[in-house]
Amino acid sequence: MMTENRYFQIKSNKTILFLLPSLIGVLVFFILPFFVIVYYSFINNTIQNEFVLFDNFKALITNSAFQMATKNTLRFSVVAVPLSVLLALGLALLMEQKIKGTSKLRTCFLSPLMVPVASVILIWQILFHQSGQVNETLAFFGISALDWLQSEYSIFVVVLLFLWRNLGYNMILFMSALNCIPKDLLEVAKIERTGKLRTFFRVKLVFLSPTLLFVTLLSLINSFKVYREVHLLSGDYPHESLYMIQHFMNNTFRSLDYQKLASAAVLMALVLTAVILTMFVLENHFGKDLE
Amino acid sequence: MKRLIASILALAMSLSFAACGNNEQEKTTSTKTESGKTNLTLACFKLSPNIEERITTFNNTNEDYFIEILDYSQYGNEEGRTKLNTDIMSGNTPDLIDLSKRPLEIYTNKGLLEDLSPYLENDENLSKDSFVESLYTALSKDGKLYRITPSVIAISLYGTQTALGNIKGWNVEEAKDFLINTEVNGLPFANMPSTQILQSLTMYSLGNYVDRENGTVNFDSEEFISLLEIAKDFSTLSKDNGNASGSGESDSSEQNVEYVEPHIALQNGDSLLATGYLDLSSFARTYKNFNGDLNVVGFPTEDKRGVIADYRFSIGMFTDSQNKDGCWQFIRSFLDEDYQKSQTHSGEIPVLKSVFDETLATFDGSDEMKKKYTDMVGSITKSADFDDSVMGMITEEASEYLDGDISAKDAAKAIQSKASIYLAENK
Repeated sequence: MMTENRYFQIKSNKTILFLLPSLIGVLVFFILPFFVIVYYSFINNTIQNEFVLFDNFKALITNSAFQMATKNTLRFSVVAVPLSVLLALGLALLMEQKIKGTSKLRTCFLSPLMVPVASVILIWQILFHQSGQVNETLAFFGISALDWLQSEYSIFVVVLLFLWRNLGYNMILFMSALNCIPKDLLEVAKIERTGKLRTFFRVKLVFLSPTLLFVTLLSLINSFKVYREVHLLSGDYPHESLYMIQHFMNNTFRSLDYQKLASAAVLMALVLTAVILTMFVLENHFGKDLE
Repeated sequence: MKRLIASILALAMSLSFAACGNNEQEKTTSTKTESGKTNLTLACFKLSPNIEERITTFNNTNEDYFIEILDYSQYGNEEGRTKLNTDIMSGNTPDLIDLSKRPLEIYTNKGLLEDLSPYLENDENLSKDSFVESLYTALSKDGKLYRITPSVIAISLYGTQTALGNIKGWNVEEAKDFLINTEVNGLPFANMPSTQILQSLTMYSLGNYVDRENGTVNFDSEEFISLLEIAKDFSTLSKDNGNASGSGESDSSEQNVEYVEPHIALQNGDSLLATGYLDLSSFARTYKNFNGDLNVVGFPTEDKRGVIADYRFSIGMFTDSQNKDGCWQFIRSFLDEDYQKSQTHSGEIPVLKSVFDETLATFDGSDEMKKKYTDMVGSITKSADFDDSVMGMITEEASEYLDGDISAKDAAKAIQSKASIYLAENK
């Protein structure tokens, strides 16, 4: 008769076998290339292959284009991600009130996700053109036309676009999480005459913390993907307020500067790892009572 | 399970590092053709039939080397460049590259191109002094020779001596003053709409505004703003009876520039300036059409030496090549006297001094014409600086100014912002 240990070992081996194809795929397309990039970040160029230690990183950090890109990316993420999370949470709480037309509103909020990006950009270019609808509306109120796409105001357009596209999905995730909060706890809070604000912070937020972490992470990832929209709006070299790290990486790839590209990628990976670890620590702290 | 994952990760690291350092081993083995010749690869974007013919001749006559053409234009313009860059950076570097229409700095900044001057100095029959001095200067960069061309096209603005006087060169302000103060019956620039005027004035004198050494640009300078204003103001007829006093109406005339022979337009006073691609034959023809009243003034540049050298074909060697001797043999074949003499009929100026002098001596033309031609070639100091990225920025922003949507200052500011980022990336 098979012992328990033997049983779990066989089960473990079978599990590994089934996981192997995916593991190989991840290894070949993600893990291996990452180590190649790390290697590239420590050599002078791929022809001479001489180790230069941290010279590439020093050159990168002192590069004004990289500094600008980092500043813009950070600024966008710091503004757009919290807005995206908080507004989505607010909308989800609103939908939870079971107001009339909830399902129609939900459809409206989700529909931006279904529209192709290129079509969206075309419409927004027309709306925010010098002689577009937005400037015409401003002119109606006596405000002179603004260059929305080629000035420091461009960042507002992109933040608005980001929120418009991502609020719906985040809202759905929060709505689903709100539905999973045990009703008896909310009833107890009601019976105890706990205020709505206290109920939210002491009960709902605790149960929402894993979803909050997930939505924040997702929004952070999507905030980097906004490069696609910015590139379609403004090309390889947008206004300096919209110049992101991905622009820097894309352009250095095209100009054969793989060392700068690799160094930037490694730095970005390190920063993101630190940010995500911090978020996990915070989630563990605030959601510890959940388990 | 944890040990398994750790072992897989360690294996992945060692595999990737081993693969990265493999380039040198790969490059020691060159491919050989069936006849035992060593293959040399030449990366290019569409070669002219003349160059292809030269390659065929080399392949047929050289016993040791065979040139294989890698035409990246087959993948499309942008995709072809990406593929070439990817090949270079992955270690699959060609031996040779056609550098015409590519900014040299992309490769020289990364030490990818071989300095050809030692090969020239060690050559039995050639040296730096074998070249026309001004053309050698135009080809060189920071005292090094990264590319060689068999022949050069001289590009310049020209007009009548009657209108231009004896000026040998000018900057943007002087050009603008000339255009404002000189009467003309039609458009000052013959056969050129505003976008083409701007392209001509910037494409061949980009070095005025772009300092790649220091990674700085100065498109927000008064000089460049004046250039934008010239392109707009002097591409349309002004409101009062066609005088070139600037402030013309936008823009409908831009699309409808009717072609007129430049020498007719200039001599009749219908235009003041035209752009010319001038080798000896075309220079002589133009000189004859003007009855000697010709002034090749050059594009407006800071140093007032605005006759620019352009190359239909220029070749460089990668430092990574394992067959540098073979590559030099091929490059050198473009400097054979016989081949150079054949260039005199191709609309281009041969770079070898002996052939240049011989062609000039045997050409049927007046001494005065020949002197002017020699002076023109001697005034060349720089090459056309082709940078699609910067030209794209200029064209995009300037088109909004030319359409009247924004001011010249705003257009210059936008170009400055974009070009600064571009230069900073590549610093």
